[in-house]
Amino acid sequence: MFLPIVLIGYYLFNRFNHYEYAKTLLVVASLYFYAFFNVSYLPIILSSIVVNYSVASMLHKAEERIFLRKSLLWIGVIFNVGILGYFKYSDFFISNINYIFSSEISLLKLLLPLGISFFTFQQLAYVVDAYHRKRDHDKFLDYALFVTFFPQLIAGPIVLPDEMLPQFADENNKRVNWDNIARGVFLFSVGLAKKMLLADTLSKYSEHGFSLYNLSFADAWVTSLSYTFQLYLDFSGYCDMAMGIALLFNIKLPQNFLSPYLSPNIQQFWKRWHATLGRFLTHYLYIPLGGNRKGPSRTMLNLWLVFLVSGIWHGAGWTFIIWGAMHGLAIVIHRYFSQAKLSMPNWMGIIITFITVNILWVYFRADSVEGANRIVKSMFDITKTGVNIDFIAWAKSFSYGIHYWVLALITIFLFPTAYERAMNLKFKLVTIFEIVFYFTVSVLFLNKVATFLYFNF
Amino acid sequence: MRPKKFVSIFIILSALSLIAIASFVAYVDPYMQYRKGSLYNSDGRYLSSGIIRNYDYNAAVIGSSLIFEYKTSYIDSILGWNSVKLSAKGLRASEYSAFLDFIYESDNELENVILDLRCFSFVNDGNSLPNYLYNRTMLDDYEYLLNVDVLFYSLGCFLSPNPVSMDNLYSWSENLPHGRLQVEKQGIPGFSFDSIGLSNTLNNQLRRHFSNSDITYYAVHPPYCAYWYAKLSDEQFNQYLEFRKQINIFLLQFPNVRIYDFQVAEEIVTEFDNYVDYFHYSSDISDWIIDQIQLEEYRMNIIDLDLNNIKLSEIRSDIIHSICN
Repeated sequence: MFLPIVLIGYYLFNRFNHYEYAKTLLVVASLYFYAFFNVSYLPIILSSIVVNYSVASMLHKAEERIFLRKSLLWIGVIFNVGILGYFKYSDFFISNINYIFSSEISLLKLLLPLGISFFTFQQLAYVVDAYHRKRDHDKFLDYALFVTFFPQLIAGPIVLPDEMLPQFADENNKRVNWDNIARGVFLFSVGLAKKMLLADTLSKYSEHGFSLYNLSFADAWVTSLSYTFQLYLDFSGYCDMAMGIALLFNIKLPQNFLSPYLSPNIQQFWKRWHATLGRFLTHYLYIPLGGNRKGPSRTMLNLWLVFLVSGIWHGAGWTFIIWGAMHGLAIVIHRYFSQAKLSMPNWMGIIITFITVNILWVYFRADSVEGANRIVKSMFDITKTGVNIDFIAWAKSFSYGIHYWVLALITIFLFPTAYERAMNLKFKLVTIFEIVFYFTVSVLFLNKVATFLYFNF
Repeated sequence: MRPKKFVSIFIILSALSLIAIASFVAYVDPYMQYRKGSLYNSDGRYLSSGIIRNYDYNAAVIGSSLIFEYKTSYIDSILGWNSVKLSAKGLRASEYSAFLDFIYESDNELENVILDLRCFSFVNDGNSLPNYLYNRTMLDDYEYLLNVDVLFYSLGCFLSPNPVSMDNLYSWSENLPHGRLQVEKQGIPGFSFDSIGLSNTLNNQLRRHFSNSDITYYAVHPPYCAYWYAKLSDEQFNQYLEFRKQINIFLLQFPNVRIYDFQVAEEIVTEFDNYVDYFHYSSDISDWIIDQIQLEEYRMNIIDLDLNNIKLSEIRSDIIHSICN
């Protein structure tokens, strides 16, 4: 009931020109939505909003005082990186100190606030933009809405101030737009089905595979592929839903996934997978590091560092660091090949990129580096014959059968993205039947649902 | 078609689809949430809710798959009760407790309970019950009515109904081969436990139930095949003895709890033909257990606390010796 109530309230306030009330409703609803998962998260996001807004406000008032502006920028950066580091990486840091120095410092065991990586990056972008005077000073309510807008609060896409705040201010967006609502409903239904019907079903395979100590060659591939497909369907499904709900409010969120597993090279993959993270890291890390302006070697180093940071951002563990570093290495190798004008057929590029990504996801998902190494080793050891009996039994079952794999493959490799379909939507009866099916089946699968994978990042 | 009409038709069709599905599930009502119906073999964690709600009884047999072969008609004829079987694979202590809580909310006056003391139910405690089936509110009934598993189960019950009696509910091992070959080919589940964890489980989940002196509990140490003890390492076996001691000391505090230790029934536990694996015994043994309860045989008292553990160690030594020979 949350969504219909907020939606009706939002348009009713706007209908009677109470624009500020409408925005306030959205902010309050978003905070309620956030607190619903765990009310103890609320003070963290609220204090983060207040501090970042204060820093940005002072940056606007600092005008030409360069030292003050730089100091405020550093305060903003240190605060955001600090809050992320404290909540996300303290225990990782302590456990490594304990390992290196054989010490016994107690772990803090902090509860990781939901979506902290996302709302921290967005606010960091706002502070940096304020430093560069990219925006006029915004009202606190607008800023709070930019940070908390509930469709994308928990797991992105990572939005930038310039693409969101003008949309919230645009008077045309304050009236009911049935065209947007229809497209939003379509996107939401498709995203829901991707998550409930496919991702959660494939997770049964991957979770089981990753929990086993010893995997055969076939098991290892089933395990890694199921996770590769699950992760895409889970995260892109969530993003489709987020874009769909945002469209109900006439807000267009940026596209995060553009058929990434069809990328002909690793660089393309990163333009098409979690595109808003790549955009953020390019604007706020790669370019400040010097981008490609400081010579070829430094460019390569900068590229590699960006992916290392991406790995660290995704999680506190050596598996994530290795995953990021390996992707960075793949990007650097691709760059060398490109500069040397070496090319390969498109299909070969797609296969090589997919296999590379698939192998590296093992490190992303595994509980330990040793565990990941074991699975990757099995993926290349054809002497490890046999198939785990569960996989065969599941493949035959209705609940986890092979038909979900077929549907997943069709969705990932043959269908256009949900966003493309939504933007070219034909308002036909057959389309209604299609999304009614998605919606109804997803509701039925709701009781089996696990959490969204990217909520933990 | 205009977008407004598109959205309207979507909302109406979605609502109609969900209402139709919910109505069908409510009509079949396979887990008896709205009325007493036929019993269909299913997961006991789902089915027990309907049994607790709709049956008339004054006694319950609660436990894991080790009580699957218990026949309530036999129990009723021997012990003079009116009982129901509340069981599920790997049912754990917290779930026993939840069953009892839900029984208290029913119209039935519970007088006697046979409780399965399967060790793993206490050392690996947890609760996997579908909560929406174990409350009286209708606000969460959508989880029952709009659930893909329940829908397909309802379809199965509707298209090919195959009801069973309470006696045969969950029965599975009757037609399976019994004997040494079956027992020996099983993997070897080890045993270890955490004393504080067990103490928490007993105190937090079960103490308040046993404190109700209106109910008599018949706590049954199930007769595992002695071959299992032989396969445990010395350390694991000693841990098992410690588990028994701790749980027995706890249960002996309550005058309304009677402990029956069938693990020291040498003639049963050393006979491979009684078993399909290390733990699961035939329906004849289930009947035999009821006979012994009626005869007050194998009942444990405080003096048996160590004696029975010594007896169990001897049984283990003997079977290890016989295997070696």
